[in-house]
Amino acid sequence: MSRRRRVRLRFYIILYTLTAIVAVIGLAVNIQTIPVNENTQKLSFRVKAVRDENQHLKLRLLNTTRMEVVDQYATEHLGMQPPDKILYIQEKDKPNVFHHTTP
Amino acid sequence: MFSITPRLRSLQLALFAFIGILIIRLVFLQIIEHDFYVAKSQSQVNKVFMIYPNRGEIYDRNGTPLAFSSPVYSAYAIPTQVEDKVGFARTVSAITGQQYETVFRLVNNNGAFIWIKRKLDDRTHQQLATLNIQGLNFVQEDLRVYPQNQLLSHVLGFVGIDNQGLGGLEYKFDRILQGNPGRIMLEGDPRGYRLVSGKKETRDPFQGANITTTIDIYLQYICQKYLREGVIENGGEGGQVIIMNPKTGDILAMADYPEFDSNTWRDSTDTFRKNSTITDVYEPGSVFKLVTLAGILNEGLVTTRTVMTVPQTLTIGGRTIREAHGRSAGETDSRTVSEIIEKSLNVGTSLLAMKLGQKKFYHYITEFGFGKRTEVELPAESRGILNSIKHWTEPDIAMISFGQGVAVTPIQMVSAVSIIANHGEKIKPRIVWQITEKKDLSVHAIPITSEGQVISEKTAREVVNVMKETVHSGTGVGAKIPGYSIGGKTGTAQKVRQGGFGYEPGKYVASFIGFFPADDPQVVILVIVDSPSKSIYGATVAIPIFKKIALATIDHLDIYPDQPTQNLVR
Repeated sequence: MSRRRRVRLRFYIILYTLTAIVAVIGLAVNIQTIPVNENTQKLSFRVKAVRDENQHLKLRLLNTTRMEVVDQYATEHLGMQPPDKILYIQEKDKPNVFHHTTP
Repeated sequence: MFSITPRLRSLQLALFAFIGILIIRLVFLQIIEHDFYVAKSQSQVNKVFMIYPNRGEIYDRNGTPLAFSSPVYSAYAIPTQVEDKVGFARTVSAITGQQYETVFRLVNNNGAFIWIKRKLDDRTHQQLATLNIQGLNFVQEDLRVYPQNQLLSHVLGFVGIDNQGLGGLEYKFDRILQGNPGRIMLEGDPRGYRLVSGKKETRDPFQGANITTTIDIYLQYICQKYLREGVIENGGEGGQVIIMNPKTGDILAMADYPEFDSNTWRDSTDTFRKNSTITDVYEPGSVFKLVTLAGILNEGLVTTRTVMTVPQTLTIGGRTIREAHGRSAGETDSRTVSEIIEKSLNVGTSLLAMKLGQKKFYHYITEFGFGKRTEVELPAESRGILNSIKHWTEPDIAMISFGQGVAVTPIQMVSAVSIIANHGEKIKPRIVWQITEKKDLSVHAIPITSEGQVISEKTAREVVNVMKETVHSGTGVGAKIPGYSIGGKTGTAQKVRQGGFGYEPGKYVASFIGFFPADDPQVVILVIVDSPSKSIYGATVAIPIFKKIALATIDHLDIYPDQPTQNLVR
């Protein structure tokens, strides 16, 4: 075998060996990333589900706290009334009104 | 020697002709019609999948959601996959509540895709999904939800089945709210499978922006509640209320009665869905006297204390103007300018306008914003009706001076009185405060826009004083609130016939516009009741509604008293 052919053979052996090593490493990395990708996909689905759930809960919350419901609860259950007049305290009534307060 | 027989020659010619035709056809296909066939080929190869963005949300000024999108499922069928069409129709119609015939008609064909029912409620979706019906599939879509139901619906508007804005802010800001859909473009075979060698292009969707309005949902609720009660109590046909901050132009509330619910807008007619506060016009009646007064005071032709002779009737251009109320025995014809407005005298106001002159009066009317849109961020705003000065007849100046022969929108009226309340400076009304991009949360704020000084500060102060007197001892006395100085003006006008000339017999529009604290107003409130039947006057119909709203506003916005209350402590 001539020197030239030996060099060429060595070159090809090294080239194929390196290619095989890269391919094996690539495959290994790929195998390792499969569960990660699956997890990412699962998490994406969960994020979406949580977001949807959040919107549904937001809707339910807003339905229970909308102005009409709050007003009805305040007037019917808590006995509150709308501000239909402003009452000012007369000077003469001041001692009676403030007698509980500390100076 | 090889000789070509005539038969061979014919064959040769035929071959040449055939090749010639092929070449011509190729030239036609490859060169002349090149673009057409490239496009056709691409449309067959390229598979485009749209990624729809989430529609933006709408909030009130304090961050309360007024409109947002919630995920729901829509059901569709692939009729070719439905083997038992009768069973399919029976099961689906029983759950969705649709008619059996409707569902059967939808699936009884060989189509590739058909909507069965869009935007299902949760329970229906769950029931259908559990049954795993052959040929029935689901796709997630967004349902537009208005959590406050009928609150602010005239302003918010509504959307169609594909979430396209069809009214109000939803329509006006449709492109901003909707965003731009993204897309994934793949090269695939006719069966829809992606080609291994094919390209893939992705463009992310541009999410719709959120809108924050200037509306205060509590004040909106109060306005709608008291307006509804007031209209019903007075046997009216409708009404409007607007609350505006005169310093910023912020619309805090915009109520319109009758109401509708944006969630179920299809159940109401167009008449209910239009926003009358910007689309409908009415004759303002005596409220318009403020414009006449502001104009003549600003020109320095009179002062509020100038005494004028005001007869009970005035004939101008063959038309006789009369006072709405008769005079008591022994009463003289002498009135100060202030009294003319406080007592709402038509003849007196006509005399003031005539003294001002047509040109200047017209100038002030347009400067106050009548006859043109306010450009508030809502669709279908009317300009109102103001005849060009060229078409004014002799009596027009008198009639318009007390609010007849001119038609205005409620928003124009609030905007005009806000000029007086804001020391003569005109501020453009705004209902959108800011637009927030979802991508980077950048905020585009709508600025407070000054449209210049319409009347001097001194004139504005004088008009405010007259309006204070109107509430203190004039026609607006019912609007008094102890501890607060209130400027106001009542209006009672005949109702103009729809789409025609003249007035509807026995029908009136009662209104009141007021602001407080008068010297440093926080709010201007306009109340209009259309066609009240129990009483017709602004003082008896609109003022009680104004007062309730004013008290709630004072309480909600923490507006402190500005009047010394003798012997009283708050």
